[in-house]
Amino acid sequence: MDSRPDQNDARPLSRRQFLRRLAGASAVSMLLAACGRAAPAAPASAPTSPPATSGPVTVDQNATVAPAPAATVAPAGTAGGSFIFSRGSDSNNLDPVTQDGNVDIWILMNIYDQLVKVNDAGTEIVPALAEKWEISPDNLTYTFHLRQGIKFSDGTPLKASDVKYSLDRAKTNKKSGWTFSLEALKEITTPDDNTVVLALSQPWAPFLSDLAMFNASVISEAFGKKVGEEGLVEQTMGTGPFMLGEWKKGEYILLKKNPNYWEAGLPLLEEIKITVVPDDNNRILQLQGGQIDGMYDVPLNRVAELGQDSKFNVKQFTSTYNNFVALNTREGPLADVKLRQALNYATDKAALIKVVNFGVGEVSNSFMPNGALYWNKDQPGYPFDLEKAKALMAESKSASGAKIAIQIQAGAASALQLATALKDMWSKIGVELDIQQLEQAVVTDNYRSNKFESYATGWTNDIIDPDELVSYAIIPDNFENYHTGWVNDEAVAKAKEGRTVLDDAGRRKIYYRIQELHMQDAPFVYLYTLPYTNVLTKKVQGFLHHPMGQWVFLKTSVNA
Amino acid sequence: MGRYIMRRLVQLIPVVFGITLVLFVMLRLLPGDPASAMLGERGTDEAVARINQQYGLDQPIYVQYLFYLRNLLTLDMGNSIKYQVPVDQLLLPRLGVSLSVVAITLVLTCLISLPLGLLAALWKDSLFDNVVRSVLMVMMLMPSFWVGILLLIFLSVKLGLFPVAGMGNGFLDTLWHLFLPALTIALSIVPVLIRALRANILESLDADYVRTARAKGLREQAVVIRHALRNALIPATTLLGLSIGGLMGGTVILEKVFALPGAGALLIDSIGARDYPVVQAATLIFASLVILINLVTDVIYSMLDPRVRFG
Repeated sequence: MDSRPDQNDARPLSRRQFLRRLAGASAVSMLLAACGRAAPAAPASAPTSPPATSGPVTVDQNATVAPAPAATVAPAGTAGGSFIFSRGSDSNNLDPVTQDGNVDIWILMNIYDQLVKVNDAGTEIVPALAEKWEISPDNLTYTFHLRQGIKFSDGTPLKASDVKYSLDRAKTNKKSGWTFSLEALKEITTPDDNTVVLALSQPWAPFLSDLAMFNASVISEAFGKKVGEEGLVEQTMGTGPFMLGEWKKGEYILLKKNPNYWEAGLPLLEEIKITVVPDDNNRILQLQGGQIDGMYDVPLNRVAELGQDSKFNVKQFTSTYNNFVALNTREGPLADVKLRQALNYATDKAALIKVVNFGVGEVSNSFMPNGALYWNKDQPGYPFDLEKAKALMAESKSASGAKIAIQIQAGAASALQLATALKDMWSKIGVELDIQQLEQAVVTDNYRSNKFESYATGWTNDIIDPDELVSYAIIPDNFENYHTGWVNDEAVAKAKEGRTVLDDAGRRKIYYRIQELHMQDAPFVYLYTLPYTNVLTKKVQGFLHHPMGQWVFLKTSVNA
Repeated sequence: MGRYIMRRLVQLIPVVFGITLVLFVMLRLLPGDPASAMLGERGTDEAVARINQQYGLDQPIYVQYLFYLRNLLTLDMGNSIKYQVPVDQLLLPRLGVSLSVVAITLVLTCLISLPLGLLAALWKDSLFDNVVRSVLMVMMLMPSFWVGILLLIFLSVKLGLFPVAGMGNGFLDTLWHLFLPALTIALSIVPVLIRALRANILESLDADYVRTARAKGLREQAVVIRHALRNALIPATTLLGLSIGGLMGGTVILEKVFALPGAGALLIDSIGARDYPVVQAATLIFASLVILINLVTDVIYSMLDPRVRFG
């Protein structure tokens, strides 16, 4: 899902050098902004190679494509104990179907299982509740065989009817923003308690990926009907390794070990307390003071410092968190493709990574995240080239200069740093960037109603298949392609074709072509991808931040 | 006096009514709405419409306001849009946290400013007096969220004397947990209070009644405590009463710094999320508290100064 690169609140002192370099920016407004709080958690993600941060920051080995990702099985993973983990904002809704956000998804994936899941490396679909499945030759019927002896956390056995109930609900619930993922699912039948047959209306390439998505989580039918739609918001009944113990809104979520979990010997932890600490400084202080065992929402300017501390492991996990500036191509100077390309060439991504992200991240060359399935590594993208930018600018309708507005959230320090750096870079080709700082609710509102010129935003994949991102960024039906208003008919046709072509090479060709078209038309200014950064004390073993976003506490342990 | 308090309480009603109206209208004049804040960038128009309908936000604003007033009369503050639970269930426990911080702050403020103000006045222009005054001046200029972070770094993380965050269980443990936040807020009020106390005591010490008291042959201690200090306390009490309003504002910020599950932190989050029912309830309660505290200050004032009579 989409996200904003704004969680990296920073302390003014450590950015002194940065401030000096950016003469164009008002230092005062910057300091003030740094005093405010950054927006609640947005995800972070990045590809494989280690980030250039100084200090001993470890890149998790899961990041590299390992055939047996279970290699994380804790070397010293002792059972028992509890784990206290802090993040910047609380969950709102733990119903896998009606929730809308990473704050919910990342927790509920520890409570619920799906028929299949994405492996820990984020590269393929592996069995979960279904131990095996067959696909009919016409690719229209999927038959899943459930694992024997699985129970929900209340001890009732999992039946095929629970799967039917859950998928029916995921497909048809009016409150869900995710029903599109099961669009091709026509009929669900359950010949016996251990078999689920899914019939499709047309061959659907991303179907297994869609079944691994959070909204296809299997909920106990009896429980769901007992507590009702509203009840599922704050009560859960799944087959996952943990169950909801207590939820004090805005303060903490307590997860308890599911005594009936189906994988022998797992999970290791007795309980996990996930606390909400909105203030970045306080979260770090709690870690330093030994009150918590780990934290997410780490301001990037603190990463190097925390990495130097011998008590902590700074862990950066592969993600699909891509950052870019979406341009409104409907009218004004940005309707001109030459200007959009010029902005891309004028953007020094490596410098941005250095000054805005303190060395964390990788240059992006596509609207697809680095390392994602069918991402074209060899696409040139827009390497920083001021001469080319100036030449394109001269050919554009704005040869004498242009004024463009960018909207950012007031108080989000890293977003302001990004905008300020872009203002500096783009001024060199005669583009004046007007930085408009607005409250998040206003920014979101303007963006959704297309009242913006440029907007720094991002993306994380929820499924390994590119179809989800493509339906958001290429096919304009739902979100007007990131509200850019840009539509390329060939890209739309290719995107729709990509759903029905099932062979790997064919799909690769399709998605490469889509990336090429997107690059040429430049409705985005590509920036960088970021990893998920978590800081843990050295006592914590086996912690995984999955490339699809969720934390995986299954094999986590805390040594005394 | 009973009649006076009754009348003041009755006067409260139109004030509270005015607050609800201003608040209600101002919140809705803010750009951005709960549905957008909740759904984020992915929200579809249908989803926004559904939420608006669910929470009655598609009604004309005066209808919404009348519904709000009707519910308020039955002490029903509605449901939080963000958390989807009744507001009182969310707010009341957190209000307890905020009020505990305010109470401890008040005690600390008195414990710090009374002796320092008194001694600074008695030892006027001494080294002690100068140090107290200049240190306080510097402290007053430091933003309290920053002082809070400094205290946390030195006293909690480095020395381990206090917990970094959270509430405790039981009275003493809670006191221990809330000490640093309360101290931080107290430090922002104390300088003003000490300076006022010092000036007032100096003034009293020069007054005729003090000379009379001394002439009567009273011991110096009795002169200072019973005559000079008591008179000097009257303006200081007013000042303290007035600063409680600001003190509530202080807790709103410091609850964030100290990660306290208080009503102020909830209020900030709710404004960002455009969670109208929570913002309305929290602001209304804060405003009423400030008004009540002003009333209490007036009553105490009359007890300290018999000349002040209620008419």
